[in-house]
Amino acid sequence: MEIFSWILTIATIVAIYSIMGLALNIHFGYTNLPNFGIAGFFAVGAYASAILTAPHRFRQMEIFAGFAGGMPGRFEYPFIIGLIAAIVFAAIVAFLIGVPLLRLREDYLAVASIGVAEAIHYVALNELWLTTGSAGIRLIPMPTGNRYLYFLIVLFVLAVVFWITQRFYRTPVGRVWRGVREDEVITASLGKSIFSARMWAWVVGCAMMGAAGSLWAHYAMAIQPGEFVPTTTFLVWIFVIVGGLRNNWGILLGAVLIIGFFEQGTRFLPAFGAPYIMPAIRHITVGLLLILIIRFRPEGAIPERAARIEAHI
Amino acid sequence: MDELLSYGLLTFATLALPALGLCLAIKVTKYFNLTYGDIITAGAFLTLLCNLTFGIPMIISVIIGMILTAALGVFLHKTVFKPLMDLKVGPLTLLVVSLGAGFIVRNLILIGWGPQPFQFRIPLARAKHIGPLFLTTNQIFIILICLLVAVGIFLMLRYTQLGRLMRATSDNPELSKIRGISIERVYVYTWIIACALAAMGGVFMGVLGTIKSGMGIGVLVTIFACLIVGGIDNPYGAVFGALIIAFAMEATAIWISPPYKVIAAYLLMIIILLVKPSGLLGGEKIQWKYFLGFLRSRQS
Repeated sequence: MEIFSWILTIATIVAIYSIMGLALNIHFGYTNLPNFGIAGFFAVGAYASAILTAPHRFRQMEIFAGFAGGMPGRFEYPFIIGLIAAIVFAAIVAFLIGVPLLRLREDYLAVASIGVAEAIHYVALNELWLTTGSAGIRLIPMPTGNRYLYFLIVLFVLAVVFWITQRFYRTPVGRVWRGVREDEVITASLGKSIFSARMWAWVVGCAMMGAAGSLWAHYAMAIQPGEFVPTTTFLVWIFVIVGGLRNNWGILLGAVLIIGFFEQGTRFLPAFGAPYIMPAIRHITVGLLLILIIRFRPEGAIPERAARIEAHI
Repeated sequence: MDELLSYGLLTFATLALPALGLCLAIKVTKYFNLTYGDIITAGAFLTLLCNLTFGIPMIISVIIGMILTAALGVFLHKTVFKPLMDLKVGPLTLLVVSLGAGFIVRNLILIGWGPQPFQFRIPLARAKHIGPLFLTTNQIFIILICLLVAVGIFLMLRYTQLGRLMRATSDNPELSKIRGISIERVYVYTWIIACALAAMGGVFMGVLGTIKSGMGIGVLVTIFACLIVGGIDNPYGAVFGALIIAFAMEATAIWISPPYKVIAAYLLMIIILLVKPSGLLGGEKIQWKYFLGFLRSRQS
């Protein structure tokens, strides 16, 4: 049963990462918006959900630990409200950040979004009244209280996100997104607003990242700012590119391969040296893998489907 | 106010040279290299290796560190970026690749030194009042070196053959190639200069505070803010942006809250993006209507 429990843990983490990967596909695969601030929106979702659902008991604990007051533990709303709030807050933050940032050229947008994630990290670390700082929020309830049932909830959200992502590929707005990716001038000359298309893609993707954050908070049952560092972002990028950018099945495959087998599966291996050695070796290997994939197979494991000619006449 | 002046100048000294180096690299090679933040860290740690482990005096270790960092930069360019540039991939692909390269460099440093912060072994000095400033000898030395090197780079760009080659390549790579310039050599020289500047910046950070293996990304973001504020393809703008960002950060640290330094730099960058996207010393005139830019682009 031990091994089954491990597989369940890994599967849940893979599913949560897959949601972020699919969101990144909307950003980068469909619309060519390189979002390197995934960890930031993940954190917004996680904190929104955790603050709204943390039980009052948590406040008692914190008062004993010398911290009184603040937002977490004041609401005690159910999980579903936390999830919706995570999506809404991530979307609002994405919109506010998108107004200045989406004006930038793609490569500058990439660096600027890293900065956004860093800024969100600093806010989470320093706004004690809101997030309790580096102590983090604990005792976040897991809905149903059962890891097997919770895994089903995560799978359900993943399925919904997957369906939305697949649908957007063919809908008119998805076609405009892909038009923006291929050639902005031609898309603009067809009367489409480039900025509006980019903003829609940005907000939809970031909302999905917020949902992933909420699911993570309720799965881990405790969050702290140290989890939302750029490494999370880079892992998502790496598995999306390895698995096949622009193809949703490829992204699921990449998540299973990189996050499931490589990041989580190798935890079984005997560790040696200081505790940071093994993760560092893993990260060096995924970094090398990223470089090699882009060098020799830029389309990833499963490439984008060839565009079907859609005649509506 | 005196406090702000001293700290602002010190922060400026740490930011100016890396900003200048990154600006040159972007200008010449035409893509944004995310490895740069980790190259700064690598420069600081290679100097630390000479200084702390081998016990070489600081000045010589800095020079060795700069040479090693330049070698690292050229190695990365030759092995990772050049093959892709030969395939004519876009700047965004190179950026994503540089992410992987940065990941590798950062984790190699982590394996070598671990996650804890380090300091250089340098003689301690008592702070002195110099006019309105309150600085130690080391700090004065750092500010002077920073200014000297920055002026040296500007003179180099303006008057030497290499500077002319770099400006020509950044203006028009195709034309430079037709005129017989070896673009690849210009790239290599640019990387050598950029990485040497990065190493100096990293060492300054270590002398004024501490260095640790994961600092690259945060530093890179601040430097990026400097570039945007000053104007991204103007070397003078990079140094000017570093000055503004440094004083904005230290003013925030003194009057608001020290942890929000980086956020202040970031807010300043976003304001500049809204008002004058090309940066303060960039090309266009100030466009105040960008304040209402969202509504405007909805209409167009």
